[in-house]
Amino acid sequence: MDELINRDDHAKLYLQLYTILKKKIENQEWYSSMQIPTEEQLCRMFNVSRATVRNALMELVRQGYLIRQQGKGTFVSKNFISEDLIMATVFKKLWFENDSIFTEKIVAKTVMMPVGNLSNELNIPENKHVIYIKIIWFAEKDPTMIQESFIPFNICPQLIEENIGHQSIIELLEKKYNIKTTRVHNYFELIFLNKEISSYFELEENFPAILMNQKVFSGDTVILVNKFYKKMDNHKIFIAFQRKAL
Amino acid sequence: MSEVKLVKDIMLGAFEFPHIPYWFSIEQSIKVVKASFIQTQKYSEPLAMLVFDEKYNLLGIVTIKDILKGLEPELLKTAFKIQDEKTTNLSICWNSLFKQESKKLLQKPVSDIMRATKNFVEPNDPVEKAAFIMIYYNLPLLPVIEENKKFVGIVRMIEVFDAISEEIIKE
Repeated sequence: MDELINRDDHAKLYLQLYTILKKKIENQEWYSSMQIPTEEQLCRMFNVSRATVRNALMELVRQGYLIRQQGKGTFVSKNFISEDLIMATVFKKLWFENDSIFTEKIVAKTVMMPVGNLSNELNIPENKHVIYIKIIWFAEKDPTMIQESFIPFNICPQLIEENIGHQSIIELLEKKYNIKTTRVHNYFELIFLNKEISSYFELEENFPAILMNQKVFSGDTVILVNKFYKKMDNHKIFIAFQRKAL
Repeated sequence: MSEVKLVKDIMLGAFEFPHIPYWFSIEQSIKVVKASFIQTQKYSEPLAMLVFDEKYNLLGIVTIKDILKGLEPELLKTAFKIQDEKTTNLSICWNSLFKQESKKLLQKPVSDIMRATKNFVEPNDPVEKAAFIMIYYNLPLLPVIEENKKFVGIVRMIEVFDAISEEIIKE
């Protein structure tokens, strides 16, 4: 059944209609290249005036969801979802090209409260417990990267008992606990090391380094935040993207 | 006496209390107190946090009183004693407290001000043992451990009081 317009809602009628029709396109009830009902039909379907329908359609055309063709009618745009090139990447434990020379040392695995910005990043209240894991990555014997991982405790309480190390946290959540990663955001920034992190690198405070901040989602829930601090040396962080088979 | 009440009947889960690592600063631990107790208006006594090491072993407990004491070196001194309450003007004692020094002390790690946990009970210990230890050592919380090492819960005075007073009234 079609979603109806709510006349008690203060939002303008055409905006309500716009949202309803947009949803039809997004969930592909109105699929790509399909001709949509005429203005008259839409008026009857939603019991609204012609002006309301026209305004809603104009907005959808403006946003690129619909295309009007003179004398033919209104059609759903092709490729409206994304004109972007979609590529896949393999999730490796380590983002280095030649990862065989690297070894890891887990220096912390404990529980804390996400005070400050961390609660925003994890999208949880500040009074919810968080599992904290800290790993030093060595290239041969030289510390090259520090990893800090934060997982809301309620996502996977058993994780605190787990022996992490042979696989990545993402892999562990996915394979053992069936918590599927659906989206990952990577942010890169140049930072100056604080005293604590720089001491692991045996560097002075305020030494520049790359911070890769990785936010891992399952649906709309943030399940993990990784912070990789990469110091300046001969090893490069590496992410490969590959087009899926066409 | 009816059946003996045991520690496991009255203990709370560890996650009833905020967790912090020992390297958190006093300032960070103040933020945890605010977020966990004050902003949520969840005043479950005692207002205390559990302090862990990097391997998630319990090291100690910090109460809000410990934080204030930690911010004022005068209060930590054992010599800080009022000689005679009647003749001493008490405002002399508090006028100088929490002034210049306190701001600097905010960056001290919480491990400097926590009470290290030295006493434990086990889940199958009687409640009386918990009561004795808490009163004798004046502890705000008493950790419960299993098989001599695994931390499984926390005992508070309110539940100890309830269990013991209930028994006494019944008899």
